[in-house]
Amino acid sequence: MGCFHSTQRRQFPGYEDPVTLASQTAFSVSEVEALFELYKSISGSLVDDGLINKEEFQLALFKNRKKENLFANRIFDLFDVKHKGSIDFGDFVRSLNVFHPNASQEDKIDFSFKLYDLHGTGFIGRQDVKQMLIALLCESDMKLADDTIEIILDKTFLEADVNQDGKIDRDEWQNFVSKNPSLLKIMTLPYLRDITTTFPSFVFNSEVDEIAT
Amino acid sequence: MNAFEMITLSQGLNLSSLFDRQQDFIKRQTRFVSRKSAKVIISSIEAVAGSMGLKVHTRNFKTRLEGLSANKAGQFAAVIEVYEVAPSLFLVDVRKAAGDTLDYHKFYRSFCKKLEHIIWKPTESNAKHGLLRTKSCDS
Repeated sequence: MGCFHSTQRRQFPGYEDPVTLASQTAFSVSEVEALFELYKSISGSLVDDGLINKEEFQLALFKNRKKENLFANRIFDLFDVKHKGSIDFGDFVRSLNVFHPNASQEDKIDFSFKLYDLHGTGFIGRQDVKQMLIALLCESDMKLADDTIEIILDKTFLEADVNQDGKIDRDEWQNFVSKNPSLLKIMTLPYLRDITTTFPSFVFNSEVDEIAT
Repeated sequence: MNAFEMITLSQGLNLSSLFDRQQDFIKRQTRFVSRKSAKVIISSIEAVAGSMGLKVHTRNFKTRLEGLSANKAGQFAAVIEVYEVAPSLFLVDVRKAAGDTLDYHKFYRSFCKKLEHIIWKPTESNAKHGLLRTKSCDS
């Protein structure tokens, strides 16, 4: 009887229907459908397997499939919830949900903490921050002397590492971010509010049985 | 300026590019370095923006530029922030706030041309200066 959703599940492993995803996220059903349009274009850009792999993610983010970037890698790894090396539609919607303007601050703080905890130790260590800072400087074609970098790190840890144990734990991060709210601006995508106009999908997609089309 | 403020400037953390339908990589987030004082940087930016017909609002070290798009049919806005990375070394971050990305790119190009006098470009001779020594980018 080929219902629309079971066809989608065949072509898109990990596909979950929009009604379920909408009920579990801040997105409406039509917004999830719009996200599906976006997902289709990204996941089909290089390999037509219904999944977003690392290169397709890089292509979508930088318009360059070969561009390697520490931060994009971290985002990819966090979106790849089941650690299978690719992002499926369910992962995509649930991960983007954290970036919705209506998502909780707590979720955004959690995500950013995991993002910067480069090796999943449960802490953001000084070496992690140093590595990220150097990566950012490279991206900007800026090079700073070692001592300048150490000074920036000292200043950062003086403020963030309250118990001065050389690493930032989840509570210290929460505290630091509440004093510096601009640090969470990367965790909100206002575009998600207009998603149905940027990626229009036809409403009858979800209502009409495949046979009838 | 703390390390995390700089880290958030990364292109890799700007997921709004996922929603860009354009095929070519057009940066919406751009930055340059200046060795001039913060006062000079801001006043130069305001002067250049004014000469380009844009409205300017500055508060602290954040400037907002507003105007009409190239075809006069829509809005255009950009936000500029000046960060002190080290004594007499400033990072100027420019990003699109509203309008067409192509317009923004054209704006940024002509904006930087007019600001050549404050933009610092690393050269062989000044790369040997204390603050900036060559450091391998192994990330």
